[in-house]
Amino acid sequence: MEHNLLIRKKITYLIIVGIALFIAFIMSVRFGAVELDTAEILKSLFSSVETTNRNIIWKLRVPRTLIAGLVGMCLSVSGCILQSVMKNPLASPTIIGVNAGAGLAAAVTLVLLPEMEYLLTPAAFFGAFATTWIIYIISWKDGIKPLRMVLAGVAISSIISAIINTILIFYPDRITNQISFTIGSLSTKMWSDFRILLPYAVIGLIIALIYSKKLNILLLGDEIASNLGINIERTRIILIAVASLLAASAVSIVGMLGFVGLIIPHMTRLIVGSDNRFLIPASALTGALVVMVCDTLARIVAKPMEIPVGIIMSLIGAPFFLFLLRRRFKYDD
Amino acid sequence: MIKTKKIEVSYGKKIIIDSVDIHIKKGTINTLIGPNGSGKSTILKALTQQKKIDSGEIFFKGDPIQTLSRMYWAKNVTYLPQNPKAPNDFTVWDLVSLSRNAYLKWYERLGKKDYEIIEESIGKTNIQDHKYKLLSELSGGERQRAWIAMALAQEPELIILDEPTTFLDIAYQFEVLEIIKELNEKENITVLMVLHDLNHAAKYSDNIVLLKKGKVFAEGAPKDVMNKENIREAFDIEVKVQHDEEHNYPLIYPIRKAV
Repeated sequence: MEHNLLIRKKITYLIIVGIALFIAFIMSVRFGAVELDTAEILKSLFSSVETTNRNIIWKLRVPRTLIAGLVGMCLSVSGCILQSVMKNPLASPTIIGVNAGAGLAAAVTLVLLPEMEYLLTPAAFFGAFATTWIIYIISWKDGIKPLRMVLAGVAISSIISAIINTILIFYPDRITNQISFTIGSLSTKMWSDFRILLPYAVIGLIIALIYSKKLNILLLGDEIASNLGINIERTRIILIAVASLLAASAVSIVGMLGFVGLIIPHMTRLIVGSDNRFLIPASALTGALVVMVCDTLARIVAKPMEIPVGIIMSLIGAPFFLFLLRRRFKYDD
Repeated sequence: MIKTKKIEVSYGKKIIIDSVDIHIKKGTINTLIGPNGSGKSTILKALTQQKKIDSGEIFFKGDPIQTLSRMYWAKNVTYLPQNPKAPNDFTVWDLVSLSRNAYLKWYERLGKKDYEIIEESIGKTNIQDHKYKLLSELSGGERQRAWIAMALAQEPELIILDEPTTFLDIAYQFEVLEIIKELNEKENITVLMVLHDLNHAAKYSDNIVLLKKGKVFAEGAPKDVMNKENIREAFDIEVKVQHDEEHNYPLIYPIRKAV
């Protein structure tokens, strides 16, 4: 009985977030510089008559909203995986160098070589993924110790940010380009960006779900996990690669939304618990929901100005997380 | 069940285990004792292949262990480290179910047989009343029983425990050791463990391996190993040893540090 209740609670949460996600989608498409009503949205979604509103909806709002959802999903699932693999509550895509690598790529393409701006997305993706491997290789010594990798990640990230700052000092006039990438923003995102993101998000999520059982076992520590038949190093390298790909694809498109990958998994864990079979899908949905809602707010709070979504997320998400943290202290050690 | 031949393990230049031969017979309870740093835990790590041996050989049922597959090992041997950790919001059931991993392919879910074995393991360790409780809600003794249930659900022939009684009060220590003994007697599970308490070792073991500085100092039945000379040599303490005729095991009273 009790057991069923626990599971039912988790499934209920998934359903509620799923419904909220649908509402958030409609809201996100509805609000913005031009306001539309829900009937109009539905009409445009299902009819093919070319109108200005339909163009706004199809060419701007829908792709932007879907990207917001995917980005939230990718970053949260990445954070979820990393927190379990590293057994460290502070683990997030930032720790495995994703942000640093993408940031350096942005500094090179946007500040050093602004004429090559079109290379930003692939360069950022490559930079993010490559930095993870540099950190992995540097922290390898008879296998990977998660704590060593976390510390190596911090060190490498600080070297890279020193390089970025050096670049910025020499080009003070182009600093703005870098800043908007650093904060992370969803404006001007289009279907082409969505198409880049989708395969990584889908494949990453599927692998994460397949590995959710193994992630649970990794939580018991290497000694027990290896005795339960888990190939620790292989499992870890696959999961780190997946986490890095997920986060790199998101960051290369919208910039550094660092906060999502750290906080959303924790927020979700406080509600559904540490069992990765629920935590991963729940974080994916919660991440999508939070980024969508924050992006909608980003467009309406200072209309017609748009505030980057990263700022909204930190200003609203972080206090909400602190609130949860104080209320649900029972999960503390 | 397990036989080691002159195994040697070192951390850097420091030799931790020096030419150790151990023979663990099927169906027995075996205990490693010895002072801190004598290599007890390292031997367990070597046997479970978490620490590479520099030389020597380890056999499991006659086969060199490095030739055994991961899954075969997981179906035969279970290992509980000192003070194992799991997320506090797992239930006992969640924890125990994880040890079915070796029996399932990656796409398989727990089947009817798995459920039976999980329930059985929970029953054998007498923790059925708490099976849907979160680990954070359990007492130290209950938590240790949950871990032993997890080990059992792996259906092992050999169970390896590194100080299963640390951090438990005397009543829980007794309870855990009684469960281990019962599993040994009823299920014929072979046990290899590290214990600190000499009296526990004397009471519960069929075979005791006394280690000193990485070497086997004495080995055999408790009444043969647990004498004052051996204990003085290994631990540097003077003890009085009395034989409990009724239960046939020695009782050890520490007196003072040896001079």
